[in-house]
Amino acid sequence: MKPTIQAVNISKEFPGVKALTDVSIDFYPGEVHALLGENGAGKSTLIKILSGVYTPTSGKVLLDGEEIVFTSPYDAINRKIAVIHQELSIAPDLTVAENIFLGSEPKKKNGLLDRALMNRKSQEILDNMGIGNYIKATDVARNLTAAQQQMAEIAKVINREARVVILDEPTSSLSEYEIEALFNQIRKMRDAGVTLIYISHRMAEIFTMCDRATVLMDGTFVCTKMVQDTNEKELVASMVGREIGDYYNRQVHTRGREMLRVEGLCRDKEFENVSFTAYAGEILGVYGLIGAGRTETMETVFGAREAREGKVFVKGEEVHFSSPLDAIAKRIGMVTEDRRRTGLMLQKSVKDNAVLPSIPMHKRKFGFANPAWEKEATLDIKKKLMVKTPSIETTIGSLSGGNQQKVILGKWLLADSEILILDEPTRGIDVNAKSEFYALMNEFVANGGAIVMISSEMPEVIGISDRIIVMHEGKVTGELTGDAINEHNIIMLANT
Amino acid sequence: MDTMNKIERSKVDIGEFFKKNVIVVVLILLCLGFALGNSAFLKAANLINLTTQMAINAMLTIGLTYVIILGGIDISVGSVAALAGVCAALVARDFMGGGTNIVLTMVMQIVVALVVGGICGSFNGFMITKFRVVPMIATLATQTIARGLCYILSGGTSVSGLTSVFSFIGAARFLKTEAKPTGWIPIITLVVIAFVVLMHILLSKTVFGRHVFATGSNINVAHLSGINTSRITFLCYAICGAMAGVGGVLNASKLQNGQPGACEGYEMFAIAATVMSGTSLLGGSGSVARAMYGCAVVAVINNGMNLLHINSYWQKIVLGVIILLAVVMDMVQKKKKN
Repeated sequence: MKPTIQAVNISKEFPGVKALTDVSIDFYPGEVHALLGENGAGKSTLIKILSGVYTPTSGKVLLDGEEIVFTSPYDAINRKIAVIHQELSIAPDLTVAENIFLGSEPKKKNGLLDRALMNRKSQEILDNMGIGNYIKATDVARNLTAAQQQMAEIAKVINREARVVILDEPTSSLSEYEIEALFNQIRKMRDAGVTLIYISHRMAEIFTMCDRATVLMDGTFVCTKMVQDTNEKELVASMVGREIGDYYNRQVHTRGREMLRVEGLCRDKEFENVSFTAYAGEILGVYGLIGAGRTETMETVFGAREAREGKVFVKGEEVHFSSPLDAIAKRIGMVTEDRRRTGLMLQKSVKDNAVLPSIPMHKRKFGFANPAWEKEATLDIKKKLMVKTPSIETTIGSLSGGNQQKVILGKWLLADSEILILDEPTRGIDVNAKSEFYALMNEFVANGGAIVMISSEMPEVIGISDRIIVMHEGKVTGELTGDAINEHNIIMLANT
Repeated sequence: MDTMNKIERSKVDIGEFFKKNVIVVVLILLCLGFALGNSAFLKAANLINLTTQMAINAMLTIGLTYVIILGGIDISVGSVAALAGVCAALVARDFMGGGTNIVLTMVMQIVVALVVGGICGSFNGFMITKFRVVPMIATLATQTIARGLCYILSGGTSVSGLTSVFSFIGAARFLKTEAKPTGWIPIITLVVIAFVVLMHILLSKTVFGRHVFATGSNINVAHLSGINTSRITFLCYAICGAMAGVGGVLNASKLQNGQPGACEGYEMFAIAATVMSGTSLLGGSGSVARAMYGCAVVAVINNGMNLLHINSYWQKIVLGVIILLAVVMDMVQKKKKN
């Protein structure tokens, strides 16, 4: 069999950075080919070259053995190469059909849009995918769940008869159940002879979904392996260049005093009667499918949303938070799930981000800020949390996801937080950074803090939590401790 | 090798300096150009005149810098300025005999400026924070309302009958010499410098200033980090209105009457000055002091072209083109950065 698309001796240099060095990979029809590596390994650069966003400094891309030179991303579409991005690029106010036909809308003879044809064809595609009952061609994209939007994107790719489909972290916003639906579509495309390139940080997915896996490290090719001939440990070792021992760094914590107690918290259409308690010296995991109401619950506890009913106690004392300001005053910090939208001021420096909540706590006379403290505190955090940044004045948007997340954690440490609410804290960050982040979480609780961690990653919840509550459709369906913490029990609770 | 690195380093720095200070370079080039065209341009007297000509725009620009850093916009500043000017003139004419006591008159002028401007700005802030009206629309409404009030209060004609005491703050000068019997140092310039320094410090050195930048950078993050973003937004619009009020009263004082049609279209000059100086319309960055370079550019263009006897219709076109160039250059640099 001949490869569909090939990267041949590709190098790519940016000013001051060599992102890829002499990388050659062949991708065959009918295979799901995983692309693995830590953040900064060069995966994104490679897929951008394959899809025509970047031009390689040297080397070439072959399609069916012929060299292709892209002049714009439209070339990739014309050549049937499609990318499904981590952040969905669906137009929210258009219907599913309009999204599917975006850029290739059918016209009637008089030049006007042939909406009927568009809707009919779209519905056919959705029906063929077996999701015609689940998503209608006339649905407005905004009203769909993340998973449904993902499906609509795949329908778009199918409509364009793509021969090469690149999936960049396609599952990062999906729940386990929705992931299965996605995998079914991937299998269908694979069986139809499409070449699929799959990028994910979740090792379990690689083993269920992929046929071969190529590992990149620091912009260079490390190895390509048949997935069935390898194992997680081996792959991770080749990604980081060393063996990682206990990934979660699991530690036995001793439970301290009660820090945060929530009783009967309700908010219309989001969650009802949610109660839980978090203790000092303990990591409380909160598991659930997307839409279970975990984020909404925690944002309400933090004062960012208004509760209809319910009580919140901090260290045994009842509190009423009308805004995050009140929660911060009670030493609560929250790391939100969407770093780019609600976690960081991307254009601002590491320092500006790190000191943000604590600026007023260190003000001088007449409301003047304290730049000396700001600098010192940020340097301190940079050192303690081992943040890799050229300087504290560096724009935070240019750091890797793991380092950004460390700065966000640092910002709450500077605000003297004793209770941390972490919402999907390790989403989209690489293996090494995850491991370091878990170590920091352990250290925080060992020093008497309490952590409430929302996570959709089963191995993570199991690996790091001392106790787990599971939510389903806005209700807490159960609590697990000790030996009861296992995949089976969690799935049972998450689906009932 | 070391010297090589040093040369390399200094080259980079010059490039960086140039990029960051395009506005200064443009200003210098414009000055040189006009100086070649008319030798009177660089004379001290003309340069001092320049500072009085940019004074009104400078006041509006100070306030707009706050609002634009917030990621907002205020197109009501011209009308608000006129309203404050008319109000100050009316108070002086009807209750103070056109202005007799110099201290009392100045206090009245500043108070009326801040109160009338502050109320208009607060109204903007209220509509934007409470009812989530888009800033462009909220301030468009205020623009029309304030202009209407100007004509109603003044009866449609300019408010005159004011004394030289009323025009002291806007037109008088210190340091009278034989060569220049009207005096060298314009009081209006000193007043504006005082506001620039004060508002620059408020923005760059205080907790409030930090919160303005944070709110403009990412309002969600700011809110979740314990910043009362509604309060910050409200205050920035109130400040913007108050500064416009001061600008308007200075203008009325300078002209020695309150004109209902004053400062028409001044919001465009102020927005131009702010944007030219590198304050991003997307919010999150900017500086009051730097915005003054933008003001200077606008003033130099107008003044220089007057000296070259270019008619004012052409001046509008030239100014428009320069605004476009400034913004395009800003965008090109941002694109390069990304």
